[in-house]
Amino acid sequence: MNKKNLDRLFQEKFKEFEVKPKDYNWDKIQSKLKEDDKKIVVIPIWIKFIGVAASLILMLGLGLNMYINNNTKQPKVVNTVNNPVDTTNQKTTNTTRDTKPTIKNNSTLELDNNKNITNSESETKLQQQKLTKISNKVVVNTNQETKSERPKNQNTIISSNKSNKNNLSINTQNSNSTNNYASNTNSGLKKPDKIKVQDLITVLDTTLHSTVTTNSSETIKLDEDKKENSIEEAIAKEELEEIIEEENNYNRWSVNINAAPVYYNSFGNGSHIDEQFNKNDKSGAINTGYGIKVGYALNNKIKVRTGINKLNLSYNTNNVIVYQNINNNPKTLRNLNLNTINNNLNINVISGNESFLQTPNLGFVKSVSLNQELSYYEIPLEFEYTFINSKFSINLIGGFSTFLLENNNIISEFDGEEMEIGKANNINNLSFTSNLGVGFNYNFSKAIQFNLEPTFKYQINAYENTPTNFNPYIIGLYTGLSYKF
Amino acid sequence: MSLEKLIHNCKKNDTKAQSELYKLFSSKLFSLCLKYSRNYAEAEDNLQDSFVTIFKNIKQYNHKGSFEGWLKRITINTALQCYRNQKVFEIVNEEVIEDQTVDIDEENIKLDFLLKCIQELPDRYRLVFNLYVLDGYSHNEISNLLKITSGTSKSNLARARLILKEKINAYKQISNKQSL
Repeated sequence: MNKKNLDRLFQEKFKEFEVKPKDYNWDKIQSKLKEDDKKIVVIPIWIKFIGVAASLILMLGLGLNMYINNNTKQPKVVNTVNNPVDTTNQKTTNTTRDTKPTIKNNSTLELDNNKNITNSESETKLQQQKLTKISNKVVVNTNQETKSERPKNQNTIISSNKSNKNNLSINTQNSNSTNNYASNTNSGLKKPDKIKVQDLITVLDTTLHSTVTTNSSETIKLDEDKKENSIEEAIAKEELEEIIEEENNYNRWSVNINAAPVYYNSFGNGSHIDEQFNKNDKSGAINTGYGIKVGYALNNKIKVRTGINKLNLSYNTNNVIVYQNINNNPKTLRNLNLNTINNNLNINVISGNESFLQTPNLGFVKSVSLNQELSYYEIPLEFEYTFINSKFSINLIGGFSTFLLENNNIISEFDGEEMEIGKANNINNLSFTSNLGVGFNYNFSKAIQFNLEPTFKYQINAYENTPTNFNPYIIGLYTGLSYKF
Repeated sequence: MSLEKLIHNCKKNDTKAQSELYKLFSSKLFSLCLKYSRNYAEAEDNLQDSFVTIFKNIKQYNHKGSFEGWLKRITINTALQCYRNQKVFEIVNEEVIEDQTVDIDEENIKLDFLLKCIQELPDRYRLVFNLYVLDGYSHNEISNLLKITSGTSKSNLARARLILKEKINAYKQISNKQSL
C-alpha cells in the first residue's frame, strides 16, 4: 500500500476536475442579467455625470459671473479683499490725483457691507454644491457597501465641511463671484439636486432595512438547502462588487498635495506695462506654487480632478530708469499706477532705451529692472487619461484653470535694493489658463502614490489693454503625493 | 474568435459573445462551485451568480493577469459570499490544533467520493481546505477573505484534514469488507 499525503491526493484528483453544468443554467443567467439591467443600470449612468456636471457648473458659473462683472466694470464689483486698490477707479483717479484718497475711502466703505452679504451667500452656495457631491458619494456606496454605509457617509460629510472652510477663504477674496446672476443660477440648480438626494436616502434606507431583516432570518436559514430570496442575493452582489473593486485596485477618490517650481514668461516681446518697454530686455522668473487636489476616477482610464493652488509668479523688465520727479506732473504710463512717496515727491519710470534721456529735468536716476510680482489662486478642472498603468504609471493631463488674482506689485530692483513702486492696472482679477501636462506616477502602495507632473499653462484673458504680442504662459514642475481611498 | 476579441465584445454586452464565454469557461467554474458548495443545487446557484457578476463587471477587467484567474477569483468570492453574512467563522473557545500533514493510504478512490467528502465538511473547514489545498491561497490571504485570523485558518485546515482522513478510512473499510 502506498502512503500518500492527503493534500497531494486531493490536488492530483482535482487537477483536471471539470463538470459541465446543465443547460438551463445559461437561461437563468440570461434572465438574471436582464432583471439586473432594469434594476441597476439606471443609477450608475448619472453617478458618473453628476460629479462632472456639478463641478463644470461650479466652474462655469463662477467664471461667467466674474467675467460679466469685469466687463460691466461697476466699481463695487471689481474690488477684491486683499487688493483694495480698484483698477477701474485708479484709471480715472490717475488723471485727477488730488481727489483719489476720498474716492478710495468711499468705495471701500461701501464694500464692507457688500462683502458681508456676499460672503454668506457664497457660503450657502458652496454648501449646496458640497451637498450634491455628497449625494454622488452616497450613490456610489449603495453599489458597493451597504453595511458600512452610515459611518462612511458621516466621514465624508465632515471632511467636506472642512474643505468648505478652506474654500471659504478663497471666496472671500473673490467677492466678485456673487451677484444676482449667481444666486439665480443656484436656485435653479438647488431643487433638482435636493430631490435626488431624497431619492437616494430612500434607496439607502430600503437596502439597510433589508440587511437587518436578512440577518435575523439567517439562523433559521443555516441548514436549509438553497432557495435564497432576492434580497439576500442583492446584498451578496453588492459585497461582491466591493471585492472586485478591491481586486482591481480601483479606488475612485484621491487627494493630492503638491508643490512646484513655476516659471512665468511670455511669448512675444511686448510689454504689459507700456509700449515704450517693448524693446527692453525681459526675463521670466522661477517662483513657487503649491496646492491640493481632489480626484475622482470615472473609470480606470479617466479621472476628473479639481482643487485649489496658490501660485506666485514674477516677470522682469530690465534696463528701466526710475527717477523722482520734482515737478508734480508725472508722465503717465499706460498700464502702471505709480505710488506716491510723499506729497511732493513722485517717482516716475522710463525705458532706458529712450533717446531723450539727456533731458536736464531728471533728478535722481537709477537703471533698474522692474519686477512684476503676481500671486494667484488657481482652481483647476482637469482630466487625466492613463495610458500606462502599473507600478509606474503615465497619464496625459488636459483641462483649464480659473485664476483669481490675489496680489499684484511692481517692484524696482537695484543692487539688491527693492522698492515697491506701484501696481499694474491692467491685470484682470479673473483669468483662465488652458493646461496640458504629463503625469509620471509611482505607486508606493495601493493607496499612496508619488507624482511628478510637468505642466504647461497658457494664460487667456490675463491682461486688458495689452499689445497682442504679450502672451503669458506658466511652466510648472509639480511634485506631490496622492492618497487614494 | 480570440479571447481578447471575445472579452471586448462582452464588454459591449453582446449576448452572443457572452454565450461563447460561458461555453468556454462554465465547466471549469462549475467545478469550482461544486467544491465550495454544500451540494449540487447550491453550486448551480453560485455558478449563475458568478456569471452575472462576471458579465456585469467585465468592463473592469483590465487585461492585467490571466483572465481565467480573474474569473476564478470572482467565482470563489461569490461562493464565499453566502457564508460571509452568516457567522460560521466566529467560533469562540474552539481548541486550536496544530497544523500537520496527514498521510493516507492511496487506493482507488473515486473523485465523486472525494467531492462528496469535501461538500460534507462543515462550511468553515470546507472553505479553508479548498482555498489552501486546492486553490493555492496562503493562510494570510484566507484570513483576509474570510475575516478570520490566520491561526484560525490553520486550525480549520488541520481539522478538515483529520475529518477527511477519517471519512476516507471509513470508506475503505466498507469497500474492503464488501470485496472480502
